Amino acid sequence: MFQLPSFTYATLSNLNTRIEKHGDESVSAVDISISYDAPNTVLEQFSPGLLDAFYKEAELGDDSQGVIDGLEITGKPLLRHPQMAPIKFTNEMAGHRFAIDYGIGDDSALVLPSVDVGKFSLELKEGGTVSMKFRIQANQGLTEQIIGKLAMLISQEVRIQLTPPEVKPEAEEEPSLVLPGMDEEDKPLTPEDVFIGGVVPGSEPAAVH
Amino acid sequence: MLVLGCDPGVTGALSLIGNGRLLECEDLPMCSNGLTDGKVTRWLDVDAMAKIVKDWSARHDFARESVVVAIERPIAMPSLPSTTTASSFDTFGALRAVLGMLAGPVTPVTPRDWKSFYGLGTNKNDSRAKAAALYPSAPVKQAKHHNRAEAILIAHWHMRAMS
Repeated sequence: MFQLPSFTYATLSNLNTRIEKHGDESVSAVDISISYDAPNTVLEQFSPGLLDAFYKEAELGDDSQGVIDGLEITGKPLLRHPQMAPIKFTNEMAGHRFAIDYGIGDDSALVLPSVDVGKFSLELKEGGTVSMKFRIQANQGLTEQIIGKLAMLISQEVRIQLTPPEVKPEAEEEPSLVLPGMDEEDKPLTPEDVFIGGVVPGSEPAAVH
Repeated sequence: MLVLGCDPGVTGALSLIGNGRLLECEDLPMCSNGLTDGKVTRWLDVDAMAKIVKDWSARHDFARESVVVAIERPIAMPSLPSTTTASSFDTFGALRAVLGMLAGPVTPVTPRDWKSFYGLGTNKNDSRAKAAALYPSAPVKQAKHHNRAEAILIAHWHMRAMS
């Protein structure tokens, strides 16, 4: 699904602040509208085959200019249906990390650790540009400072990053033979040690009645 | 159908497309306007312009083809010096006359209209990238060729709008 793993220029077109009711608790939340002009290859992130469905190669070319002064030239610039209205996707993505480059250095970026992303609208342009609009909703990591800074960025071009939540592989924990009264840094006992020793080092032997 | 696209201006350009191919693309010819001082000392060389169009007409048989023209309409911006605005409209008028007489009906188009078709902003390099993508033979390799790119994109916009 759609993501922006590296910081990319986009426009923060609007910000809406609101309150969410979580039981009796009122929680601050924001809706951020983003506009982003993407290369048409972004369509493949939504559904494989979508690029070929809507775009085709320039029909008659003499010399291929794959790159001009570092500019990337799209391979499929011609719209198949130029009169088509923007297309919408109902996909909702949850738990993404959203960051806006702000100030100097990575530390000063505005980071919302868990946001929902949706309301995708894609306007396909001739020449290979897709003008995207989407909404980001957040109710975590919001402070007065972050909301204030976001508000000051309305209608500004900013650099954003949107990354999916990290899925940690479930590691199988090996059974540990660290017994009560034993430091974890000590070498774990083997079953033979326990059988031979009978007691845990550092602990009182159990009374025998 | 053949489509002429024109990005007017002292550093403007003219392009011709037809049957999905870029057929011609040239910078607009300029000459002295007789002034030696001031901001504007050059204007469109109408004779040279007419010669270019006649050459293209002979080469691509305008008489047998349906030829249409799209020219970017200049915008009078109060923030610009009045001489600059006057120069823009002088070039536009001269182009409108020459191309209307020697090529075909002229459609003026605002930058906003044709640029929104491609999702273009003010970045001139984006125009070159789009022109090169649509017409791989487009002569837009250097940064200064952004006017050629825009002339090509204006012609392509008109072709798509009419199809």
